Amino acid sequence: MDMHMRMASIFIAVLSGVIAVGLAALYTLKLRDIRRRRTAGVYTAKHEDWITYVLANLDGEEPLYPPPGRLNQEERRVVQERLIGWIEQFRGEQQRKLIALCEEMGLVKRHLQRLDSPFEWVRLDAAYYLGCMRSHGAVPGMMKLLASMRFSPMVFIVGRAIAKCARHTDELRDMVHVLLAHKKEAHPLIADILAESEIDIAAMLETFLRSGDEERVRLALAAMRKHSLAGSGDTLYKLTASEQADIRLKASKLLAKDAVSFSEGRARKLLIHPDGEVRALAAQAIGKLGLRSCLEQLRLTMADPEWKVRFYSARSMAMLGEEGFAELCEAAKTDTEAGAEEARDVIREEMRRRESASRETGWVAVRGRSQPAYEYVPLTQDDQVHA
Amino acid sequence: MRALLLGYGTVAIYYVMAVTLIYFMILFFSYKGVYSMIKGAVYSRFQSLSGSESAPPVSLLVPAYNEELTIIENVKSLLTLNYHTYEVIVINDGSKDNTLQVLIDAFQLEPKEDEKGHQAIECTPIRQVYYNPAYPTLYVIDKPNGGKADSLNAGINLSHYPLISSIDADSLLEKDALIRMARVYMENPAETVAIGGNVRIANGCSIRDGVVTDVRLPKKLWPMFQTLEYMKAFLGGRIGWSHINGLIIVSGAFGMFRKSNVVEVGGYRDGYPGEDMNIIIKLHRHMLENKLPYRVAYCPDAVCWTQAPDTYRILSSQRKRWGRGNLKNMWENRDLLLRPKYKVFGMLTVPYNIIFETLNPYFKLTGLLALIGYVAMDMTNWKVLLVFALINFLNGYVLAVGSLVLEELAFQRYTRMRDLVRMTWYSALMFLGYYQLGVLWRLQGHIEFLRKNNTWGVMTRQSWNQDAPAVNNTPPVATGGKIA
Repeated sequence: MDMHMRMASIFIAVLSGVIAVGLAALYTLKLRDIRRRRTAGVYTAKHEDWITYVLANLDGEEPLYPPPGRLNQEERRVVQERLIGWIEQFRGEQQRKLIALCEEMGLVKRHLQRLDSPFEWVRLDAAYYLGCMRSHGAVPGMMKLLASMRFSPMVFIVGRAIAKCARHTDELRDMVHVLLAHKKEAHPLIADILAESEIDIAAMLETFLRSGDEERVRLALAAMRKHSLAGSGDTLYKLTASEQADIRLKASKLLAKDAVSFSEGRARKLLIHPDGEVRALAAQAIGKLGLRSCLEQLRLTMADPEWKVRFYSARSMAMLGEEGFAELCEAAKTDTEAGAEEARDVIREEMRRRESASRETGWVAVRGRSQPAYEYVPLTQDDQVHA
Repeated sequence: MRALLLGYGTVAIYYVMAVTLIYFMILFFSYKGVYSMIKGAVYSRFQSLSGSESAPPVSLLVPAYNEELTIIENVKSLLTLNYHTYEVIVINDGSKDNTLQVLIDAFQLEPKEDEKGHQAIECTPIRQVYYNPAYPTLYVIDKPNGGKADSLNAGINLSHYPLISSIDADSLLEKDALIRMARVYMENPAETVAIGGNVRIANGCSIRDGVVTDVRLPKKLWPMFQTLEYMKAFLGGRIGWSHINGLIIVSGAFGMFRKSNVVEVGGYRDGYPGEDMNIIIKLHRHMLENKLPYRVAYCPDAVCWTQAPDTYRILSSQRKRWGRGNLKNMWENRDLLLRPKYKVFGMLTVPYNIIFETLNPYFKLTGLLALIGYVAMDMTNWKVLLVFALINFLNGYVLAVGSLVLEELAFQRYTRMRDLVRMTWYSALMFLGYYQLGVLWRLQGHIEFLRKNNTWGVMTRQSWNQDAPAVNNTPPVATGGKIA
């Protein structure tokens, strides 16, 4: 019994010790946080004039000067955070002046030294700041860091920093290679990272798109949502036949956005694509781009087994003027049940839309008493809708 | 009898040792996981990412039952999130009050005929979809009462985007909560099937225009305890569980899911509370059985503020409901227990939940009876009892302190020293009654389960405007409310 009690006492002592250490750490952290906030306020107030000076002279020809006097570590941190905030906020000459100021203050040099630290967290921190300061000299060090890292959210932080600093496409290509090697399908995020770069990435995306490597193709397609590539229509059209569903869908989406590449011939072929999602996209795009010559084909897709294709076909027909609307009415009368129902829904919807639009213009859409189709008649003075 | 009591004592010691070990292990993983979470959040530029087309489009699903008091403010708040492409789908689950009408009036909604919604998942047929092109991202579904899970399924059927996010109608999302969560998804879309957000208690905080402007601790006792409880669960527990891909629950108040996977598992299960735990279990099971790489992630910096029950009646009702949901989920999924096929989930998460969560009240209760037996049969003395109580307290308190350190290290939401003093003090005070009540409520929940009680229980809605009156909200079928 005594032995058990002794063991229990030791356990209590250990737990009490852990709690004491935890509480000490907790209050130390809180005090540090309070002190940091206070000193940040004090130093911001101290350098208020300098802050005003920097903001007032961002557009001037003169280079910006560092704050007066020697800065202590905390002061430098406060000033650095201000500068980083502005660098990310401004673009062009203003940004360049702020970056030059960071170099003048020795911040870039300091972080370049930290990039060689034996501790990964220090190197990561340095990479983040060097990225913000667009330090091209840091790229080799950051690449080394990126290549040495296991997959974690941190790899994207370093990747973004490299994209900001890179001045050659090869540097971006290497960074992309490492990020894609993790095989996490993070193409949209990598595309977003590439968009941070000041380099023209069109040529690189073009090679990715034609590479035949699925990962690179996916990345190029993701990047093209922001960065359209002139003359990529043929490649995109080829990709609509890809074995990978996501690739053919994304390629179709991009193709459908471009009126030049989305020719009538391609639209017709995509309407009979084996993938229902692609057919639906094509049907939708025909209406948006006003390809009246595809009306006949759209009429046929009203009998498509996929509801989405019928849905978009009907809506696109309604968008193709009176001719399209008449075809829609015909579909409502004669098509298979699903197609006819879809057509009727769109007709109802279109009538409502036209009716509401006509209220403003003095015209209202009504259903003809003797005709199965629909026509416009002028609104009566008392604004009554004829039915 | 003495031998029985001694045997029980031995078992109880191993039980306590095991639970302590697992708690510490999870806390350790929380510390390990929080580093990259903090750094990832600090170094990410959410402002630019939130405006980026690269962020995946998200459908926010907001089931609402008798939410007329808070729904407008909450929807307005949801419509102004910092995110590029998203839609808000409010599902009026047959409310008896004017929830639907206040929505129609406030947003001038009109019936939308072309939104039939593709019936990807079974749910109660909807009555109507309402829409106003002036608010192009807002859709309101009106349907007969069918429960929270049914409402979510209806929302999924209407949703237009590949990611869905479930949000309680009485909760407020921070403006950048969605983009923070989306960042986690974007880092690993290949494997991420669900992401949990961090739910914090808004009682005591200042709220203006749907935004928490001043973070303060609750003044009342019950919400204060819950603040600490949530902190312990979300920071000390879920970060660690997600680090080893063993997270068993993503809060119903705020979570994000890949829609295709939710559809694959048949959507949310209906019929009783605990749908948020159930969907995660189904996702784990589906991915593991099909040998697909996956993760259920957690994003502690994506914050959703919710109102905690501030009366005994409502709190006990909520906890009994959780107890019911937990028991039902564990019973239904007992086949996962200790099956190597289900990896960490089957070998650690489920056993932990069954033994240390579901069965916890029975160990506590029998422990108490055993203590009485030891005293009655003169098998112990006050010193031993004191030591036992002290170890119990210190064990729990060390975990509470661990969670507070995590909060201070990573988030520092409560900025004043006074707040920290209160939190450390109340963390100790919780051992004098609150935890014991938790055991009692869970036990009562189990009894309700055995009695096949399938109601949501008592729930009140309080306007975010603190001066407004509270309304009683007891749905016929489980809808709304919040589950941590």
